[in-house]
Amino acid sequence: MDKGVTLTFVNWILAFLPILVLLFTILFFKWGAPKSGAVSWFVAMLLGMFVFGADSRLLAFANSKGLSLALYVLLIIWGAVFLYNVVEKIGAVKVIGETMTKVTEDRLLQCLLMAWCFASFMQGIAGFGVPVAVVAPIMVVMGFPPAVAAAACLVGHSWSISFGSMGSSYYTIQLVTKIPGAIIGPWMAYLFLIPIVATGFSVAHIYGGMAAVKRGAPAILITSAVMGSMMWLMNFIGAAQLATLIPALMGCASMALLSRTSFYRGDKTAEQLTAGQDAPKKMGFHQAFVPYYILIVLSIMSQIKGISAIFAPYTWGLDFPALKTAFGYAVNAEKLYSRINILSHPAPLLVAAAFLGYIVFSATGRWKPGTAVSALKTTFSQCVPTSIGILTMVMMALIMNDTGMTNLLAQGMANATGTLFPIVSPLIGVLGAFLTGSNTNANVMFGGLQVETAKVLGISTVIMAAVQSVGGSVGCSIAPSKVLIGTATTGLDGRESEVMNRTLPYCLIITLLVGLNAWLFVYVLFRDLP
Amino acid sequence: MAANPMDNKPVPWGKKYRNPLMNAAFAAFWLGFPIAYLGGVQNNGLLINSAFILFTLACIVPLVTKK
Repeated sequence: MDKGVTLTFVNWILAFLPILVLLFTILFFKWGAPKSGAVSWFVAMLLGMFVFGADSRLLAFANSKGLSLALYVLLIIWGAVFLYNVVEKIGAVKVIGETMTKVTEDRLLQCLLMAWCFASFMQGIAGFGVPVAVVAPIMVVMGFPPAVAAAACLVGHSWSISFGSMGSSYYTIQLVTKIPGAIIGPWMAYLFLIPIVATGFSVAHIYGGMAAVKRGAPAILITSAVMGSMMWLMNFIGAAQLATLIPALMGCASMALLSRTSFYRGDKTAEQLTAGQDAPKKMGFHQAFVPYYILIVLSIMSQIKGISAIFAPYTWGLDFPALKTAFGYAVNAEKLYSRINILSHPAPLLVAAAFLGYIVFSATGRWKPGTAVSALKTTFSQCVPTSIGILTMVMMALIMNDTGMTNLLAQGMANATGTLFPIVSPLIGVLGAFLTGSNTNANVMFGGLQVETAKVLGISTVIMAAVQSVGGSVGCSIAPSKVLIGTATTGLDGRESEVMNRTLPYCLIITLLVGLNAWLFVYVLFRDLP
Repeated sequence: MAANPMDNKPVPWGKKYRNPLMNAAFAAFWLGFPIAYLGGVQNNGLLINSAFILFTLACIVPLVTKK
């Protein structure tokens, strides 16, 4: 294990201080993310320099890494928000929202369909915050309160992140832990069963409390069984990169079918479903959804090996040297850090979808002159505060990472828990996701640590590596950078604490359930698993 | 018609210049990015400190202008 500052209670608290400041100012002072992020960055810089032995060169590189990572994320956010604004300004979002409302008249099923299944489908093809950026504003158009829409989307799709984006986090955990995908994949699928069920119930609870949980139980349990078994099947047949996309698609189909059953079909169904059909239709659903259809097709095309190989050379990323703090904490060298490829990065796909959508809308006479400029202006004013919040927080996270604060935090948690480590283990994944806003980055940060700790404790490294990825996935529901996407796209700019207050309890409960499941696996059910 | 006394309240400068200052802060981060990286690669204290000053100024903006 890397050296660094000695693990003592005081040092552990100091390492935790930037996160504590971030949480405290967001939750109790009700500060917005840019302000809280800025203060946390100052705290991390001062602690890094004066307590954790970082020199100015190490801090310069840590900040550069943070900006590289932030650039990767911000390009997606700006691209997604721009695409959404274009679609919104020509009236297509209203059509999509109205159509989704007509799939079922049941508001609870609408909420589950959109936040739990459709958002996860978007995670399967795009990820990186796109599900929240796309689905939450559509839910607002459908008539859901903005805070409910943002929170439900954040929690609802948090089961789907590890195998989402065509399995980017799943491949990362393999690289970091050196455990083959054929071994770790099915275990991840087993462990994801609880988050699948729990996120469904959480969405129902966010929407309408315990009454909604009771009413939604049959639909949630049936759809969970469909999605959980499909996730396992995809891993079993060696198609793990589709282990979010296919289950989520099946989940959408399951919800649509369940909405036709007598249990969820009220007396008013006929009138409600036919209401407005006599009115002249301005735009059909499929036409309104064209930019997103294009995005889905482009995302799938970008995963085809032959096509991605053509664009492989068009990659940008910075190289970073290996460094050490004054206390000997080693930071590994990085080649093409946070690489941005013109095809595999979602931003060019989002812009291409907007451009191709423009061609289709122009050809059908739906395009309004000045839409692109107007969408660009709106995107700029919406995204600058959000971007500053993300920049400061990711820079803080990378300072913590490169000065050894993050490592010390995780070590402290492992040492303090002992045999209870499997229960705390997903919390480490949550911590990584909270800091970086990414399941992939959380796996990079803590995947190795989880396996090392499992070896020390003599428990299954495969299960603990899988738990890391599951925790990282669940933790994305409280990651400030993801919360910011939700607030920015639902008109809740500056009210991040309101959304985070809603998502936090669900995230913690699901994390605890995953931890208990992991403990049961490693100490009771599968003690002999390597 | 009587004037609303609230209208005569001076707008705090932080609120008045919030948007241009936030835009400037956003630009400062990206200006500081290559300077910090080059400073690190060349181990040049002047570049590194310039980047830190830019980052600090950029971080002060939300502290004085945002809720």
